[in-house]
Amino acid sequence: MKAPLLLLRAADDWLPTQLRDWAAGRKWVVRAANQWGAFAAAVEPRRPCVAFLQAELTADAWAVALADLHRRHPDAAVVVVSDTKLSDDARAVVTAAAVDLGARHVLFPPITRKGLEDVASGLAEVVLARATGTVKTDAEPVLDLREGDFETR
Amino acid sequence: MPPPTTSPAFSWRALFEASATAVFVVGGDRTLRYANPAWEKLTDSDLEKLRGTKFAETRESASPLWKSLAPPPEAWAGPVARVRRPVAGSDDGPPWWDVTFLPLLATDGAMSAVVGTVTVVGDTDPTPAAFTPAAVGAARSAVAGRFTLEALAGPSPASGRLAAQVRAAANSDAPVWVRGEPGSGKETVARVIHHTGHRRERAYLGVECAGLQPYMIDGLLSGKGGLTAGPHVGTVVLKNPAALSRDVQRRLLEWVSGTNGPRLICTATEPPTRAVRSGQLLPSFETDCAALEIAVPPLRDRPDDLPRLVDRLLDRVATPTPALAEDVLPVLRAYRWPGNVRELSDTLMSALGVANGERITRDHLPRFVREAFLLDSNPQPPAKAIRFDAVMEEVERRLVTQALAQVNGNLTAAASRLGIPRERLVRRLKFFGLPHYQLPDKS
Repeated sequence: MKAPLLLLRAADDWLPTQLRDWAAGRKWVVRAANQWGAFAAAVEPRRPCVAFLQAELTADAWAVALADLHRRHPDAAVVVVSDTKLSDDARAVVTAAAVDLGARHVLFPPITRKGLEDVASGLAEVVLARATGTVKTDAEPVLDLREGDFETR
Repeated sequence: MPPPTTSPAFSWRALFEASATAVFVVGGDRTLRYANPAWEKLTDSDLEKLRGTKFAETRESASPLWKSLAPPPEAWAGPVARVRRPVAGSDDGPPWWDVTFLPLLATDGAMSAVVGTVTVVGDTDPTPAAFTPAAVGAARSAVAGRFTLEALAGPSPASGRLAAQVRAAANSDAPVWVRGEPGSGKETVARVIHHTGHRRERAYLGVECAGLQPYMIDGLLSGKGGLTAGPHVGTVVLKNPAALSRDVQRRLLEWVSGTNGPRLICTATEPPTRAVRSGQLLPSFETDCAALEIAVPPLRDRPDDLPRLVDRLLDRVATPTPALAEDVLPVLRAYRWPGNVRELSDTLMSALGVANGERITRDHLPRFVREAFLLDSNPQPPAKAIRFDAVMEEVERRLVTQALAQVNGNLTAAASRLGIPRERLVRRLKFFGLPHYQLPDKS
């Protein structure tokens, strides 16, 4: 398994700064993809990925990028982070749209470092379990009679 | 006026002609036999010009529009089939069509025709337009269009059974327990049930029960602007619900059983029984939440589906679909895929990267996959038969030698240690060609 990837799409330095220590402590690769088109392309096969997508959720680019990532890499865990505060109704509506498009979680301001790290840790556990969960379940029993130990005359 | 069905002069054609619902009939020879004016208007086509035109065996592109209404293979197999067809390239067309195909059997059991009705699914989502730009709606439609029953169909009996179970689940509102090995496609099954069921206008919510802390799940559902506040969620999918705390389980159950509550689907590697017995899962999950149980077969049990799966997976990541050399599929068939469809997908993506835009060949596949094929095509010679008598004699010889060494060669003591008469020990020593005299006492 390749080193896991923390993929960040952020408008400024704030989000990467919050998660830098978390990623360094776990030896995760951190990659920034600030261009929408590059977001899904930054994920690699066989590399577990947790992605944070920070956006203005009343615009539309985030939805296209999220849908594209989910189509190409359905196992990548994506957290949508809203740039702006929204009313309760708007939050519910946008959250429903985001989870329908494949987001695993949605965060709205105020956002704390602990909140970000908790979400990252929880989803990291999920993607790592998926990546390492490919154990053979159909292994056949082995007859442990090594002939070399019974040299016959 | 008596109901039309009881009148001997009833004209079914007049009924259809006056209907606002688009209706069409495809004959057993797959040609278009009839369509009502609502169908002509919807597809922007003329029945007189199209009558007798043959539908392809598989769904074609949406251009012209009527071609996207080809009955799917499951409609020809017998049961009522419902599919969602996104209609691309239509300026004034709907976001998608929901088509119901009703097969008509002749008295001899042969398929005589399929009657189709088309429902236009508009934007009935409760989402206020101000919060959801057009691109969001389009992206959701595109996601819904990917998860039709056709995504699960395949030539193997296992996938046929799976598609039939999923169709039955989509047509009901009962909670579903989907089980299967890791990577076998449980979430795809859950998505297909949601996007082909009647709650599809609302959102699909997948909850990662094993990873997120309870306060995060609570925040998502019942916090400020949480999803439980309104009818936003159509289906909630709990992935491995046994990992949730019992408090959260209880609150989720209250939500799904309430008014406007979503449909519940649970996915796990095992049925709920064991988790309920161990106390990890509330008993309701076994009694009320597993009304339907769907087992997703592992990939190794349905190798016939590989070509279709490979096409679908490659189509998902690149346009045009990357080409595959002829020698690739036999190699993929030889491997056992312990990681199931997820491992197949990773393998193809990895090969796609190695191929770097060229046609994918056997050499682009990972080594462990190619090795399985080599072992399969060069079977090992049959294992050497075990020579039972010789092995047992060798075991006996070692035991006798060891017993004699432990008692310093004393035959009586060695026989006692071995639990056999002294005479038998002497006979065995003679048989093995070992010295069978009494060693002198060192004292």
